[in-house]
Amino acid sequence: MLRRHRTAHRWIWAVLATLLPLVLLGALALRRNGPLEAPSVRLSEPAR
Amino acid sequence: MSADYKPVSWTRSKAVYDSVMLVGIVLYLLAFLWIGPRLQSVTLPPDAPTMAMKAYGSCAFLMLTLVLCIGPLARLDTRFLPLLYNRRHLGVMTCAVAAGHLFAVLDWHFAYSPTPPLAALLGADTAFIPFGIFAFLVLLAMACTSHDFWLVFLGPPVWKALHMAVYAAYAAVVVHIGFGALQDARNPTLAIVVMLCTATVCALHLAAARREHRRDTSLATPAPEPPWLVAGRADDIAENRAIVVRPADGEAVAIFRHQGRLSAVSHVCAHQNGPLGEGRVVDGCITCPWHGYQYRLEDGTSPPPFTERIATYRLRLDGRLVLLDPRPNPPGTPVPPLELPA
Repeated sequence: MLRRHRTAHRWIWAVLATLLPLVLLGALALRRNGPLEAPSVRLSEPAR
Repeated sequence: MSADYKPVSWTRSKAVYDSVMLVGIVLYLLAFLWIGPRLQSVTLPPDAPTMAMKAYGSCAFLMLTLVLCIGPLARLDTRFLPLLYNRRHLGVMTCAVAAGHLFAVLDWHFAYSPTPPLAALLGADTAFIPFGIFAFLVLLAMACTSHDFWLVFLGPPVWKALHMAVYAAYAAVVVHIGFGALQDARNPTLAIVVMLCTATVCALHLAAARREHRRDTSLATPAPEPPWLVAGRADDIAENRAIVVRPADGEAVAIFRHQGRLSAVSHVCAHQNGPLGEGRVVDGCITCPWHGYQYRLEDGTSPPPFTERIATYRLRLDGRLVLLDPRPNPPGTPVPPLELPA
């Protein structure tokens, strides 16, 4: 590998190794909780 | 001179490599489609198109992870070099499997839309889809230009820049999965697998980069007469192998020993910048460990019909010490090999 490519690889992976875990952790933090079938807005009172 | 397109030269090793890869893909897809529905909750019966989407998508992600691991693994340990030889075949298959995922999505999610499926896909208001489209387009461009014909036609700088876009594609895939499939996945398996794969790829690249940086900074000792450098002792160079010398400026130099004589050439292969100094002399020619490209010791040119050339360097002896002139000669310049005293 050429020297300039090695330098580019080093920088690229330093950035990706920092960003990608943050992206995944952010995605996990933004996940919706609770059952998927429940509507986000209650349409009517539940039957008694 | 025009760049001729030559068909793929199949060899036994390529056939074995591709066969193992194809069998692996088929077994993975079959296993996913057979095991996946059995792991689903009974209140959410799986549908076949959704399972197909997940099967192709997860297979493509795992293949792309493997492709990105091969490079640093081969740099860290030469035993992984056989995986590097036909890595482009693996890359093309990754694109094909990713296309399977794309067609499964178009065939299901957008099949019942009043607008054409492709228009519906491009107009969808979900944030993760553009990342998936970008990643697929990069893989497609790489697959279409994977043949050496394109390396010659586009020129090495453009071709290399295009193929380094695979890193951006991987990042886009991680975002695509993170804000797509991970949002609805109740089973932690997907999250664990994605995080493990991402961590492995990053760790391997960082480890390889760290090792190369250490090598780059261990420079050759200047000789008493500048610009000559002390390359090492002649006795330390094994027959048909090389030592690698790193000047302060420019690329590293490989000094080969063959039949009692030394020759110095560029450490960088003209084909795809492979590490020539880690190769060996076969049939009187320096042979690149990555793809087998060869160069003559006396002038750095490839034997006919090949036309690649690499830079040559001058050597001289000071007792048993080998001295190197780090100023490269133009590629293909003949330099008589240095005779070693008996």
